[in-house]
Amino acid sequence: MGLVENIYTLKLINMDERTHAYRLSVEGLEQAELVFDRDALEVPAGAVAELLVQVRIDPVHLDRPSSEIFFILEAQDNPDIRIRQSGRFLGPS
Amino acid sequence: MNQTASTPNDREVENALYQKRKKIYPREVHGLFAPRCVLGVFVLLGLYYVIPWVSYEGHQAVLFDLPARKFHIFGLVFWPQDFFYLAMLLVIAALSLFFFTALAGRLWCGYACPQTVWTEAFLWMERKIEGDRPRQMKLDKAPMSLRKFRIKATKHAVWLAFAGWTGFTFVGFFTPIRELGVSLANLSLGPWETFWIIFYSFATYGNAGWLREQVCIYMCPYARFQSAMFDKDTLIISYDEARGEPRGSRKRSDDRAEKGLGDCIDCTLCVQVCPTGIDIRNGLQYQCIGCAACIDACNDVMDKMDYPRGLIRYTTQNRLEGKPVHVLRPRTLVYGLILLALLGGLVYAIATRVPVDLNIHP
Amino acid sequence: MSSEIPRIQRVISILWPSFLTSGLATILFFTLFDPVHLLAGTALAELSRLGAYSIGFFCFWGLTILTSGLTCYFSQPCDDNRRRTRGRQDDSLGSAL
Repeated sequence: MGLVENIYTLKLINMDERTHAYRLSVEGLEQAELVFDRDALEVPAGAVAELLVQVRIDPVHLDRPSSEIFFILEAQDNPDIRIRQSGRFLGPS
Repeated sequence: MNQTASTPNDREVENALYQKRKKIYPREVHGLFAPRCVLGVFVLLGLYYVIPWVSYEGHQAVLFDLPARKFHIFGLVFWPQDFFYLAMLLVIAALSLFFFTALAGRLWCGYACPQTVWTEAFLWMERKIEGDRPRQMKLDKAPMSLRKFRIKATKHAVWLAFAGWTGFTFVGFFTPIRELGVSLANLSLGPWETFWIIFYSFATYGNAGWLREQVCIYMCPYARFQSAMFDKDTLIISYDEARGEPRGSRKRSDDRAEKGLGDCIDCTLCVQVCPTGIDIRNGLQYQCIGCAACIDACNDVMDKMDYPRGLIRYTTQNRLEGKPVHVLRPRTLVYGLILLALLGGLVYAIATRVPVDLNIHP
Repeated sequence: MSSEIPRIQRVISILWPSFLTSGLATILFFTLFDPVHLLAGTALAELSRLGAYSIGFFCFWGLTILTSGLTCYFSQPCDDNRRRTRGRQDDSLGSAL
């Protein structure tokens, strides 16, 4: 019925000398939906971007109260610039 | 009043703020090692004063930008998050120090250490203004006069100017130096920049002009523990006692075997050129910084006497005792291999690092 | 007689190791914490980063001078304090320096 939602604050630092547009995706939980408040994720060189993202999932797909999920950030113009960080998704207890 | 009888000397030492030391006037020296030393001074000082002015892609090539919290080394940018690399670099620096010390003793002290390098520069300026060793000693013994005041004032003015430029350059490694220069010209320097420029200028002036070898003897931690890294195969500067003793002066035409004398003519030049004032003929001492000035001075004298060089030379304890020499030994091999591994690891880590960071809350 | 080392060495052994440790502490602390964020909303909010680093360094140095000073004081032999000659108007703390 109702979707379970976790809210995360992501802090992204572009440590490169050039502006990059990034693509954010989530991994580790099937059927999880990623929602965030910006369409394009363009971050100038040296800048820090803070974004609020929501991850939603239908609780039927959750088999345990706490699952590990991965956020994957990739620069659109350079696939070598890619980082994968883990987080926890908490379902209803 | 003192209840125990103390000699005037004891009282003198206790009450004086400074150790009653005689000022050391190192005599100028030429030879095999001296030019290398001078070259080292030029290269290192040159690098220090020139590098902050080098530009790379529109910004300062080497800039440890403290206000902006970013370190630039040419194309590389390091953030606070990259602190790990700095820690690795420090470990590598320490290990390479141990490695070179095990190999050849105090190479760092004699040729590369900033204290030695800046003291050499200050000594050179002093020599140019006050004259060579005998003239300096004569000037110091003379009573104050207009001439003495003028000479001393010139020397200190030159020292302070050089120290000022050193302090300015030092701060220029940490905030962009061109802006700093403009601010200085406009007398609009920020208070903290001003403070640190003055601080480092006085530190340079004090260390290189006044303290000199006292830094090596009393302040340097490396000086204290470096001898622990020596073994019998470490290259050290040594006086060949077997060859030199018994010492004594003689005429060039004398047959030393006949007179029962060794090669040492007791000219004491090795003592006069020593920046820390020791007599290497007494053996390797804690104060010796391995600058090899005594080697050059003695070789010069040996040449004049038509004796073979090397009465004072780089050698190892094993070689002096007639035992075989091992450069490649467990200590040097282990240090060397670990060093290579860490260096390789650091280069690899920097080359493959991703220029983006992502933090997730919660 | 108190310690055999010259007075300058005693002074240096308080001021110099504390200087080094303070430098290290400053580097570690301010690598972790940006002073601008720490001071935001406080009376020192307008302080420049360089100023914050400098004041931080001297605060750390003050603390480490205290440590080194106490160490020097405690490394004086205990029973000497009572048998100390009255050469100067000093207490044992003065002689430690």
